[in-house]
Amino acid sequence: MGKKPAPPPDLVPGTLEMLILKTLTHGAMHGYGIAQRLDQLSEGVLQVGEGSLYPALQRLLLNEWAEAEWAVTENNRRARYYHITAAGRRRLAQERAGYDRMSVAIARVMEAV
Amino acid sequence: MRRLWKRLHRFRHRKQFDADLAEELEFHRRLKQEELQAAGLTEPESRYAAQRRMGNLALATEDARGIWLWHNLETLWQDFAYGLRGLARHRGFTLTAVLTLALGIGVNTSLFTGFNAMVFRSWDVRDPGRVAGVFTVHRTPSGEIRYRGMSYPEFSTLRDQTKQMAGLVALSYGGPQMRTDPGASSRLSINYVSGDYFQVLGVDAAWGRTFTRDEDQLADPRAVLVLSHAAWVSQFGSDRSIVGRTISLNYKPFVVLGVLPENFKGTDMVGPDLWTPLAAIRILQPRSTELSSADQCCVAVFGRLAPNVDRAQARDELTAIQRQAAERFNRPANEIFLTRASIVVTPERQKKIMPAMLLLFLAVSLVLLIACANVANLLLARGAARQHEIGVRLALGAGRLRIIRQLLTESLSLGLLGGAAGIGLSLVLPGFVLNHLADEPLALDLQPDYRVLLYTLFLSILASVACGLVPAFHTTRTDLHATMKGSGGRSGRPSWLRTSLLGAQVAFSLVLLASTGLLVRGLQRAARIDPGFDTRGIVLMSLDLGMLDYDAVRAQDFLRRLTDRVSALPGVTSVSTAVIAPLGNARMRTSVAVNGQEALAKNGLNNVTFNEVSPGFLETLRIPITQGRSFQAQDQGRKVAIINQAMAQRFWPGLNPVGRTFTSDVAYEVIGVSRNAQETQLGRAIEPYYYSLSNGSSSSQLVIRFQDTFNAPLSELTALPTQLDQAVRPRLRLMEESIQSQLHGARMASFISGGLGLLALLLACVGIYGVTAFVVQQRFREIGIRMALGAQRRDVLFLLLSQNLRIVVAGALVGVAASVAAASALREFLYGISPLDPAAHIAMTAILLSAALLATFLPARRAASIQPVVILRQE
Repeated sequence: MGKKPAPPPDLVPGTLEMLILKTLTHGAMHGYGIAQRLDQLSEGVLQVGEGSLYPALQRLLLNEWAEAEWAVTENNRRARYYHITAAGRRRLAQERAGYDRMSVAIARVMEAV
Repeated sequence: MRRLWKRLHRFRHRKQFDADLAEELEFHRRLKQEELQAAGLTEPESRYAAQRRMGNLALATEDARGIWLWHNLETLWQDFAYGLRGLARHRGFTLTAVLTLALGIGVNTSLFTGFNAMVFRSWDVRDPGRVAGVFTVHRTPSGEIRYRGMSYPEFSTLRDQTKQMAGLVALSYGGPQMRTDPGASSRLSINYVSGDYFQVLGVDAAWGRTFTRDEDQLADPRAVLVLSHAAWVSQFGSDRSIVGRTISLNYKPFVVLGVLPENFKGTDMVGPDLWTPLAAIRILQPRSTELSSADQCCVAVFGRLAPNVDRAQARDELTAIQRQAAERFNRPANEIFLTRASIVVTPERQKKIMPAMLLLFLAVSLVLLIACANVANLLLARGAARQHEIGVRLALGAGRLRIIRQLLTESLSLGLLGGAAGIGLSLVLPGFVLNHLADEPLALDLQPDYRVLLYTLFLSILASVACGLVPAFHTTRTDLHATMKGSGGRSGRPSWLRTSLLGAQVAFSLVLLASTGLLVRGLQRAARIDPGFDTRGIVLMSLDLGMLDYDAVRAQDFLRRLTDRVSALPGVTSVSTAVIAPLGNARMRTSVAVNGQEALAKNGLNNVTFNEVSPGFLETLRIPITQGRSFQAQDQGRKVAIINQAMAQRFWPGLNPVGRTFTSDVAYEVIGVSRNAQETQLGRAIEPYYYSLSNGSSSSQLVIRFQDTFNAPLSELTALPTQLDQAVRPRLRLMEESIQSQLHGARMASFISGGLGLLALLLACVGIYGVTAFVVQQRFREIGIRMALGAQRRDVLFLLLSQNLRIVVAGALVGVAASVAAASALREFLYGISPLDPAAHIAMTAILLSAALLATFLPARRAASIQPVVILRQE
C-alpha cells in the first residue's frame, strides 16, 4: 500500500514520462540534465521536482522504456545516464499520437463558440 | 510476468539499488549546489538552499523505491519480525496459543491425512493418472444406483475387444487360504489377478519376478505366486532365498516367483499377502465356477487408458462392447463407469464412508473452532493489556489499518507455527488411531503429501484470520484520550465478545461430550441387548471344507463323525451345524413367493434372510418354538422350514402359518414358528428369517454348546477336526467374542468422539481459566477496594463464579440443543438409546459444569486472597 508519488501540478499522469522520453531521444542524459533540459525547453514553465522525476525514471526502468548505466561526466564525475530503448521509442510514438489527438480535440472545443 | 521478474531481481539486489539511488540523488544535489554557487551564493548558503530546493529527499527516495512495490514486501517482513519478537517475549502466551492451535489444526490434518489416503491417493503404480477402475452401473428397481464389477466371461470379452484401453485386468478376492507347509500353519489372503496385472499397472518385483500372461491360461493353470513385502517379512523372515522355493497352499505346492516392493500394497483397501494368476483358482478352489459362468458376480476390473484416449472415450467404447456381450450372455445391458485409481476405489465404498467422514469432519471442525475461540480470547486479553502501547502508536500517527495489519501478521505467525506443530501431530495420530481401532491393517499410505500440506496451510491461514481478525479490530478501537491518561481499556466486565466466545466454546465442547455420552450409553445398552438366544457357553468352529475340495457326501460324512466326537467331549451339551454362524455379520438373502401375497414383491418386501442348519440348531441356541414343532431327524432331506415371527407376520398376518408353503428355489412347507432372534448383526431391526435343513455340502460352521459353567478344553476341541483330516484347520471363536467384534464400530465411534470430547473440554477449560485470570487481573483494583470496604472473601469468589457460571450455563443450554440434533446422525451406533437420553446429557453437562467451575475457581481464589492494603498502597 505504498503511496503513489503525486504528479507535478497541472501535469496529466503519464505526461512526465512522455516528456522525459522525448528529451532522451536526443541522447543519453543524467537526472539533473533531464530536469535542466525540461526547464529550458519549457522556458521555466515545467519545473520538475526531484520528488516526481526520480520515481518517473524508476517507472521507465521498470517498464524497460529506458535503461540506465553509470558513466563519467565531462567534469569527470560519476553519474547515472539514462537512454531510451526501442520499446521506449514505440511508447513515445503511441503517447505522442494520443497527445496529438487530445490536443487537437481540446483546441476544437476551446475554439468553438 | 517480466515485470514481476524484474521486481524480484531488484528485491534480491536491493542494497545495490538503494546505493545507486542515493548516489544519484546526491549527485543531483551537488550539481544544484554548484549551480547556486555559480549564481553567487556562499558555500554553506548554497548547500542549504540546494537541500531546500530538493524538497523532502527521504520521501523522494521512498517514492522512487515505491515504484518497485517491494515497499510492501519489506513492511510485511518487518511486521513478521516484529510479531515474532513480541511472541518470543511473551513465551507463556505464545506457547498456550500455539499449542491450542496445534491441537485444533492437528486433529483436522490427521483426519484429512486418512481421508486423503483413502480417497485422493493413487496406488503406487506407474503413471496412476492413466489407470482406471472399471465398473458396471446397475439400477435397482427402486431407482438406486449400484456399482459392481462384472463376471469373468464379460471381462474377457471387454479385454479382447477394447482398443481404447492399453490393458485391462481382473482381480478376484480369494479370501484367506491356508498355508500348510510342514511346521507352518497360517492363513494368507490371496488376490487372484490376470496374468498381465503387474505389467499393466507397471509394478516390478523387488526380488525375483512377477508372473506373465502365459502363466494365466485357463486350460493350463500354473501354481505360481508373488509375495507382498509385508507377508515376506512376517511369514518368511525377510529371507531372500524364498524366491524360487515352493510353499504349500491348501496342500497344493506353489512356486514363489518374487517379492513385491514395500510401497505397493495392492489395489484393494486391504492389501493381500500374495497374488496368484486367476487361473490358479482352478487349483485352489476346483469347484469354483467363477471363471466360466457369466452369472457369477464379480471380478474387479482395472485398466490403463491407451495413449491419447480420455476417460469418456474409453467409457463409451467399453459400454458399447458390454451391451453387445450382455445380449450374448443374456445379461442386463449396463453402462460402464470409470473411476480414479484411489485406495477406496469403488464408488460404493466411497458412498459408504462419506457420511462417517462428514461426521468426523464436523467433529474436528468443532475442536478447531474451540481452539480458535480460545486463541481469539487470549488475543483479546493480550490486546487489552497492550491498549497503552497501541494507543501511543495511534497517537503518533500510525494508521488503524496499519496496526490491524500488524496484529493480523502476528496471529498469522501464531497460526503458521500452530500448523507446523499440527503437521507433526498428524505424523503420528492417524497411524496410532488406525492401528488401535481398525479390524485389519489397511493398505493406507499416511505420509503427508502436497495435498495434506496445502490443506494444513489453508487451515492455518483460516484459523489465523478467524482468531485474529475480530481481536485486531476490537483492540484498535480504542479511546485515545483515556489510553494516554493511563486508564484506558480497564473496563471491569469481560466484553460481550469474550463472553460469547466463551459461551460458544462451552456449547461446542458439550456437543462432543454429549455425543460421547450417548455412544457410551449405546455400548452399554448393546452389551445388554438380548439377541433372542442364549449366548453363554457357545463356541463357534469354522471349517472351510469347501476350500479343501469336499463334495456334499464327504462333507456330510466328515461333519457327522466330527459332531460325534465333539459331543463326546466333557461338558458339551449339544452340537449342531449351520452354513452361516449366528451373529457372524454374514447373511444369505433370497426372495420368496407366497400364494395370495404377490403384492409384496412389488415393493421388494418378499426378500427374506435364511440359513441352512442341522436339525438340532434351534435347540443348541435355545431359540424357543412358539407354534408348530422343531426339526426332527427324520426331516432330513425334506423341504421343510421353520420361520421366525417376523416372517409369519409379514406373509400370514393373523393366520397360523404352520402347514402352509412358500417358494424360494423350491417349495418349502412351514412346520413351525420360532421366536425372533438377532441372527446377523446385533442391534439391527429383526428381519423375516427362515431356517431350512442343510444337506451338509457347504455347512462348515459348528455351533457347540457347553454347560453354563464354561471351562472348556479348547485345545482338545481344536485338535479334533485335524485328527479326522490332516488338511482341516479349524478356527474357534467364543460367541462372546463375536458379540464384542459386533460392537467394534460403536466402540470405535465412542473412542474417537471421547478423545475429541476430552480435547474440547480441555481447551474450553483453558479458555475459561485464561479469561477468568485475565478478568481478575483487570479487576484487581476494584476487588481490592471492595474488600477494603468490607467485602468478604466469599463475596468476591461468588461475584466471579456467578459471572462465569451464567456464561457457562447459557453455553451449555445451546450445547444440549445442538447435541440432540447431532445425535440423530449417530443413530446407527446408539442401539436404541434416544438422542434425548437424560443420563448421557445430565452426566456430560455435570462434567462440563464442574470442569468449568474448577477452571473459574483457581484464578478466582487468587483474587479473593488479595490484601486490600497492597492495592490501596498502589493507588
